[in-house]
Amino acid sequence: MTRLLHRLLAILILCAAATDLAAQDTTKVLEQVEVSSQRAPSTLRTAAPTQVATAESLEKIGAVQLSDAVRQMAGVVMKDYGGVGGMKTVSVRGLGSQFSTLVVDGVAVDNSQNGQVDLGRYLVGNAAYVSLSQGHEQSDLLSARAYAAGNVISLESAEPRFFLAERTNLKAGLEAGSFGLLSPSLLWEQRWSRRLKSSLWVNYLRSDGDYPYTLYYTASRTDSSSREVRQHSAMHMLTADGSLFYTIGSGNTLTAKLHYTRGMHQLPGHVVYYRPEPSAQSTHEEAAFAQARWRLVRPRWKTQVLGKVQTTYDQFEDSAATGMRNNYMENHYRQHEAYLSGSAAWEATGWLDVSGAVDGDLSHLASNLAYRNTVSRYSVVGAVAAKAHYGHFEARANLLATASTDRVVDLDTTPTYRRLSPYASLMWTPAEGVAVRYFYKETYRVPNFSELYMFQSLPRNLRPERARQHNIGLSYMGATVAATVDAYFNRVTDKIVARPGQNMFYWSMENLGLVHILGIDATASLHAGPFEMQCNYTFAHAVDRTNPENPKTYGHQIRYTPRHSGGGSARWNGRWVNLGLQAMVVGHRYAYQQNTAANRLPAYCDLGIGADRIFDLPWGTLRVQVQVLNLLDVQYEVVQFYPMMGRNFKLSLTYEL
Amino acid sequence: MLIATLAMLALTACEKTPEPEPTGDTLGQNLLVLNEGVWGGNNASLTRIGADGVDPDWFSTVNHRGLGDVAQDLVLHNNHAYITVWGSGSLEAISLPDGHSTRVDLGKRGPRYMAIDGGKLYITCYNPHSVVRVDLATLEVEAECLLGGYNPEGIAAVDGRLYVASDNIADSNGLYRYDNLLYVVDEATFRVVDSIVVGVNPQKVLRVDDQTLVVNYLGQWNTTTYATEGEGSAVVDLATHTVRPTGQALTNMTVAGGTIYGYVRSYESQGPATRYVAIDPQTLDVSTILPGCTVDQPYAIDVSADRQHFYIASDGERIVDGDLYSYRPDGTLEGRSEVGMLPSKVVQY
Repeated sequence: MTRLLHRLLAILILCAAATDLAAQDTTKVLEQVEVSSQRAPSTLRTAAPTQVATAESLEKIGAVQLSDAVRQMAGVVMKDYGGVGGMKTVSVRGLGSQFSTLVVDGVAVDNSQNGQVDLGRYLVGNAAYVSLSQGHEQSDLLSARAYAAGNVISLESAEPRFFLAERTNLKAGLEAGSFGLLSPSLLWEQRWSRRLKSSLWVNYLRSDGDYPYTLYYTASRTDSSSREVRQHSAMHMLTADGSLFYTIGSGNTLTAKLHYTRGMHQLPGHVVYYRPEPSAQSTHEEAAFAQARWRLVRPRWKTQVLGKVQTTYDQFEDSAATGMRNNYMENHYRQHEAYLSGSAAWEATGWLDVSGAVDGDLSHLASNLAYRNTVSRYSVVGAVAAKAHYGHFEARANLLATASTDRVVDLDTTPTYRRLSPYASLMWTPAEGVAVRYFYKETYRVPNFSELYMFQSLPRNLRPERARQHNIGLSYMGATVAATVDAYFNRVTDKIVARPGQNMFYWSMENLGLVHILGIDATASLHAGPFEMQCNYTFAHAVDRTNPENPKTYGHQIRYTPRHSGGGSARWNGRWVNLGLQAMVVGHRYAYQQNTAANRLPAYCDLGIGADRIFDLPWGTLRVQVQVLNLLDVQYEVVQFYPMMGRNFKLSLTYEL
Repeated sequence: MLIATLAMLALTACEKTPEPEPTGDTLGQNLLVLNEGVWGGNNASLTRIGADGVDPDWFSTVNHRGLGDVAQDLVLHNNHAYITVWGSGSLEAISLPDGHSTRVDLGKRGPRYMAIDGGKLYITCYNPHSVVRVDLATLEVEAECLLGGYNPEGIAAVDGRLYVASDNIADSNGLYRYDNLLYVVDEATFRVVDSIVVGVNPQKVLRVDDQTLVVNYLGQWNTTTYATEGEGSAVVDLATHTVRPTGQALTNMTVAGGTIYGYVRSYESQGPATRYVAIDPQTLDVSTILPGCTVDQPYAIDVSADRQHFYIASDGERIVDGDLYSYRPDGTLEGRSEVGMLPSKVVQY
């Protein structure tokens, strides 16, 4: 879509220029218009259900954090601890959050410490698109890690685009909103030569997060309540992204990226009955990585090499830690990672493509914890894949081999994990715009360092969690309407369950769980003149099947997973102003594995409206957007006792030179 | 296949998630069960079991508000039940039998266990490490007695003196340091006047009679072998401060009719089986009790004064509501009732 728009824009510019030239009755040679090769993944003609939010749609909904983009997608359950600074993780189709892999510009983000990636700490201000693929993306050049994921959230940075003789693009943005939200950003794109381009994007994000909420003192929410204000919830974060795009030759590109982020998040903690005083917990984090991607595309083969080095530092501090010496707790973790990936694809015959990928990764974590504070993990992942296409059919299959081993200070054993995981898919396109698809995938995830070594009283031989996914679906794309419906069945075995031990600092981890998830994801979109609309619906019957003898959990919906959820957005592109509406509806959920009334969290609807307009100024364009979020001021919690923001306002200004 | 799957989904969509109600088996006594709740869940509760049935959250039913975050201890005195709520910093004074409660705000003190003597309520607190004295007539905190550098836990009052177990404390990086003392506090001066060396990491201390206490200690975690070492229990002679180890580890315990009852359990799934025992405080003879008891993850134990009913509460694997079981002395099951999350204390009233 982006590419098409750019082409249209280019044609319009050319027409306008040509008209102008014709009027002058002179002859000039027009400079070439650059058309970006950056394309978002296909959402309809693909065996793996894929949802995409383009830069344009991200701008329309006023997305700032990656979580803003992903929460709107079908099948996603966002675990949000509230406010701009609250941690935000996703669970897709009932699989745990650690089955989701975040891929930034082709490289998977690793967090061996706790296996979870906070989507609130990744910003989309310079994104070309964000996509969510079930199974894995259907690209020929995937890293082996991307094959290994249960589902992939991909964040692709925008490649600079220049029109006519432009050499410099500048874009300044400012987001301001309720409760101290302020987010200035600056994008500088430069064309240094015909082959070399660069971009630098800097963003500062801050929020006070001191929003009011209602505290209910019983689960029924019908008895005592009080009006409170969320305290100790401020955050600030600086992000800088520098990228180089070098075209070595035809189909031969090298991109490199330097990323730095530094932030502080005050953690308000859960709301405690009768304790109005603020928490004293906070985190400080700093991360830097350098990564490069070289890609060579030839008519019958292509290859890619990715490399990345990363260092992260996280510190958790609590100066009111009751029960700790001097009421003080401080843990810090420094993680280093080195990662290298190579992949290649070859068109063997007119109907068969084969490809393969190998990744190697070294992760080292050092902390100040009293025990088992230094851990290293070495992992190698390899995948071979084949794609066959004949007539209206396309079949894909791959086999993934993973192996990893850990070295731990003060632990004699070195846990080692090895496994083969297959994948197969079939797509049939019986008519233009119609596709029927099926995939089967096995995924497993190695326990992270927290589960294996930290905060538990005794190291256990934890087995990896395993997931088997089946998906069958139908997609349709017409001139104005597009729709998909997918039914799926996921089976998660050896689910790792954490339980408090004899004290609150150390927990026990065990492979206890068996979960079955049967669900439907449906999406639809409509574009008719100035009106556009999209919506999605998810049904997820995600139940515990661990122990038939335990009626308190067997057959119960798993925690924080609604049976019904959905959302949508509508937009009217007017001549004078554009109007938009977004809605997210989430059915009731349970905060604990036992589905009792006391553990039930009520359903909620989060509705937002907005208006935007682009003003043409002498030296650029100014886009102004105003939004009212949670318009109905619904008091809801995604995670129990972490209240979300009520009605709030946001103003966005984007000036493009 | 798609149609079949959709049909199956439609059917399951109509299936209601089971919401089991408490079984309500009458356990034959007026019982209160304190359910600790999960930290962060604000789901501490007080279950009332009587001839008229079971109210799993009686406190909320009567008071129209929740008990709070992590209930710690429950004691009965003079037609009142007193509950400390650690996370919420509360002392709840509940009149019986109607259940109406008055909340006393203890702020950041982190109240733990209680003992009552001479119209005063004594509460061990984490912040600062202390015992506070509350006047039961006015429910006001009267005085504070500071202890050592470890977290105080169990407390017993005997003959004008308080005996306070002090277990451990964690450094900022999670390194645990352990105490091994019972602090002796004089009620009149409200000062620490003595200490008694018991085992490492003492937890609960209970009055057996006017001359005797029993204390359990959980030992310490060996960072090399990953085993717990030094756990046990001991009987303390208050006249001589003589400490006699029983040779029996006790995870939790109670005293009824001059006999110590308790259990030892492991919190690891591959640990040794749970064992229920009785200990004669005079002879230190240890005998196994409740041979038919199948509760392998107990969290509370109580024995009726006539020693005809043994109440064992299971911990619900620490992820769901627990159950209260009543056993006869021969180990046969009398009844069962679902209670709340992490039932930690059972009392008759």
